[in-house]
Amino acid sequence: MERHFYNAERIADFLLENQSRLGIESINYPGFKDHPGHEIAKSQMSGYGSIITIVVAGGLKRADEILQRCNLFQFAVSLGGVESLIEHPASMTHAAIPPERREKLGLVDGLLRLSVGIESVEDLIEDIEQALEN
Amino acid sequence: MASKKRNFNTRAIHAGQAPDPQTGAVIPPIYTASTFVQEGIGRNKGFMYSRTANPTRLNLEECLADLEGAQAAFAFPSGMVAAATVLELIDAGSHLVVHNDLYGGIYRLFENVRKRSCGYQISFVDFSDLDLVRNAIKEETKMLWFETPSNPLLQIVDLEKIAALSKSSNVISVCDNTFSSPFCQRPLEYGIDIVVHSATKFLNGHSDLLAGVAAISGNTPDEIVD
Repeated sequence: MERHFYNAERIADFLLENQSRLGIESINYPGFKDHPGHEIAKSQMSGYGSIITIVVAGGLKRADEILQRCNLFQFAVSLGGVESLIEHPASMTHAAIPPERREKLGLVDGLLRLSVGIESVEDLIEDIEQALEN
Repeated sequence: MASKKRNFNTRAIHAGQAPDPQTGAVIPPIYTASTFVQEGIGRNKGFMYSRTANPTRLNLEECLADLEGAQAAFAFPSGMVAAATVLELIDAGSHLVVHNDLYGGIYRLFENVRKRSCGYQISFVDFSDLDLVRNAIKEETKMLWFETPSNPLLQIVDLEKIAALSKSSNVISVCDNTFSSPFCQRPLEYGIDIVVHSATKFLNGHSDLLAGVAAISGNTPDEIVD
């Protein structure tokens, strides 16, 4: 679990530092100090989990391209495994939610959910970078 | 286990996992039998039929209860089954206040299934805003259901405040702890009544099985435990 947390934090920081270059509209990670729930998370959790969600510019089309370019981050639902996964909530885990409700919640077509595994974080960063920077 | 409560990492390895008394095997064997030979009427070695009790599942449940700080934990074939079973605690026609950001399968269970099959009245609200939760609770509310961090928007819910609100309103609070795992967060320690998990996620950790858990607080009334 500690490696999950460590890797997630490194990746979240990398995405934030390279946000505009990588065409990311927003990054959601409770470990960020400006996350609305950060202080509560800090007090009731040890670590901030290993799930990160990002909204990529370019909507559904670019989201699909990114998912297909990922190698180490495997394009599959589920989370919490030693292997990193990436998925598209709007069409997969949250497809049961009607589109207008998804839109209202912020569950947009450009939203991607990363489950960060315990592989070498350098390799994970390289993978997500190449998938996003095209 | 020793009477002194050991640290989490030690309990994760040892709770419910004592060596097999018959052979000394360090890893308890997996019992696949569906049924158990009875010694006489009302006499057996603690097992009759695996659906109701199975030694392997009991080992798992003992470990999960220990890790969550629960009075008891129950293992299920999936997180969805755990969730559906917990919902059996409340009557048809009940009102529930449910997190508006939650796993799509759970949303579907509430919105597309239980509303129809059980006549649930459901208010979906943002649980990271305590006032919204408080204002949504009515006299006929029976349950609060939320995730923290939530799926997929990663909203954080204040466990202590929601627990206090559920106590003062006399409603059952249920936290889906899937995104955290008990290593990271133990809602029962903050006064939440029931924790559910998709154990397919961090509790398994290798994407090679499906399972679910419901863990209940020591303060839960006996009739619910039974």
